[in-house]
Amino acid sequence: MSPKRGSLTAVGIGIRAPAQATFEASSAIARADRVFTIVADSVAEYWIRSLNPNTEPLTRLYALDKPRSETYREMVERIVESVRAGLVVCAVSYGHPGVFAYPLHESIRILRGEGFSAEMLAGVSADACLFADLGIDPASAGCRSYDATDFLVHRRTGDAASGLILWQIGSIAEPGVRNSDAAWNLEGLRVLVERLLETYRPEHEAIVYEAARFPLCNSIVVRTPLGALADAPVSVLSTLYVPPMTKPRADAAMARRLGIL
Amino acid sequence: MERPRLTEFLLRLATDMETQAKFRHSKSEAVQMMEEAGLNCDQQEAVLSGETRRVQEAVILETGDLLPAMYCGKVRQHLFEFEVIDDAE
Repeated sequence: MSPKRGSLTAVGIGIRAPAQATFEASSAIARADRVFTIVADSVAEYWIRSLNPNTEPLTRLYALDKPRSETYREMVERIVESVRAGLVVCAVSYGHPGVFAYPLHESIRILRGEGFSAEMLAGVSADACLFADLGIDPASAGCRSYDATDFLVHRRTGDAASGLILWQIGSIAEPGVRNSDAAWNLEGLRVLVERLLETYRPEHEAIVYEAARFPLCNSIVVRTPLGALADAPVSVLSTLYVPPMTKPRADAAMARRLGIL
Repeated sequence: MERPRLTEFLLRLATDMETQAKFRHSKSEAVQMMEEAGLNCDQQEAVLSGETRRVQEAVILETGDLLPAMYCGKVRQHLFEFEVIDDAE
């Protein structure tokens, strides 16, 4: 059975858009009947509109005192309804369209279930920028990655021998949105420090990171002892990177079994 | 509506490496380019600062858009649908 006529392509345009947008993302935007955007700055929005004037910003659905879950439901509805109406739709997010992007994953899931063509194209995410800016190769010591709220609520265990990325440290347990760049939940940040100190020494250096979003701007890189993280300039855009504190211990039996010892 | 000169200038910087190289070459050249593009003093200072926040504020002033902080936390609906662990068990 051939797919129905409407289709969805979810694309990301990177953190420093449009410089980090891929050719395939630009092309998907340009050839769509309708473009929906979830992007964080007007430069990106302006660029997308220059590629395709049939653009509708879904960020207009956010509102103070409105739960994010409701906003996301409305985003999914807008995207899915347009595809059902037979349109070639491109949904654009900043960063990577599949990283912290529930409405795009959900729209694809629903549409595929209904027999429509729906795909996602990879983009440059905040962790990709972090690896480049901080000179980290996740292959060298491993790197675990969690949303900060997830890390706390699901009792993720620490591993001092691998790197750790914690996303959204400025909006721990925040179900809505606020009109401020500063950390939305300082108490949550203190709780996070408490949990991290079960694994790391308080003087262990961590990095509060925020990727540059405009050309010629610098990424924000603040080094702080973990014990003092709650006093560091954390914003709602900050990501935390905790480098390994110890070296991993090799399992000699496994190394022998694999033939490398 | 007035043209968003700062937005257009940033877009040019982002997409044209030659323009970017010229801008980086010297401060006087950078200032001249910004003046030719019609940027006001505050906008020029913001771009020269190299600080994302300052540039962002200048862009918001120009376009009147919502603060990006309204939606910059990105989306994570699933995190609030917990399978609860009960310590007492």
